[in-house]
Amino acid sequence: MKSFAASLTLFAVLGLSFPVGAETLFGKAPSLKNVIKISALLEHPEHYLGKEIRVEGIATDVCPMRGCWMKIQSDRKKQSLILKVNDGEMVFPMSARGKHIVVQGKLVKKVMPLKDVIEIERERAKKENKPFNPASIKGPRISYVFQPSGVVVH
Amino acid sequence: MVNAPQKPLKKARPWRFYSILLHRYLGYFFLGITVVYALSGLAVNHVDQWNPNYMTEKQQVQLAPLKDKENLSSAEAKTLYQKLGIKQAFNPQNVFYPDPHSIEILLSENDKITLSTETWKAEREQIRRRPVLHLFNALHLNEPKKAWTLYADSYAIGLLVLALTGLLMKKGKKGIWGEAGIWTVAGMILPVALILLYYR
Repeated sequence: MKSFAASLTLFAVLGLSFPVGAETLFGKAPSLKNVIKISALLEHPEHYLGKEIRVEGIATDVCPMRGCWMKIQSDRKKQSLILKVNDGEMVFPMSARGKHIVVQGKLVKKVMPLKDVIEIERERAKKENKPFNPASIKGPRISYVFQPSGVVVH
Repeated sequence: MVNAPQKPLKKARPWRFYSILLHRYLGYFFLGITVVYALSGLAVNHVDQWNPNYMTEKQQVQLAPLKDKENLSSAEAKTLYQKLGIKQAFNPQNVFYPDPHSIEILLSENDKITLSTETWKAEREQIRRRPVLHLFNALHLNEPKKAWTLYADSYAIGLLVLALTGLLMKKGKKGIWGEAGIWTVAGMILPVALILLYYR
């Protein structure tokens, strides 16, 4: 029984000693060569909806709670792209912040209902000590998120 | 003539002996990982109330409006750094403009300043990993993948075996149909009720 336990201990130690590379891959390795600029993607999102594409950029933020999203800086100022995965599908590390990211996946359109937009804007105005008029919100908010099938953190 | 002493016949051990043996050694073997999953489970269950992986320190300062909203100059960054007590040299490559309302400066992967271009409030957010618990959570959520998946799978199977051998441990006429059965059913009521109520 002792030798069996010793063998299992050895197995566990060997099993955990996989080498860790400089690149970290989440999901499938991106295979597409053509890189779409984030600015082009956000300028004509409808053109890219549902298509498998590759984008690259610097990660500026990562979900600190579950690692379920990552924000990628666009090649143009005042723009960024949100990568979003289902909880646990991929867990992005905080250490990805500031690193170059290569992503392959699909752009998805999200429509936020009017009442949710009003709630968010109300909270934001409250935080910034500004007056808020719900009538200033004209309709549901459309946004685009990128659902990756593979992400490489360099 | 003296007869040679006869070896006592080996009695076949009952199946319960092996069941208890299996239960015992699986219990020893999986003790460590059970502690990992239990502590991490407690931590991750309350993810809405706290961050199970990181501790966050926030610091806020007020800044005068920038001359150009789209360009944080070195002089302005220096003022900001002084107000926040940062001694690190300013590197314009670490400045990002993620949306029309903010400017972000990444001092390191764990240290970030967000400057609102509407209120000109700057918030420095420094995060630190929770020692040990962060690693437990990584294992619980199978972040290492590879060999850990195999080990975690074996743990899941081990738990099933532990539960079944635990169930069969009770001796007596009634066996699992007596007290053991009552406890088993009692433990199942809540999960079954939740499944029936919410996930039909």
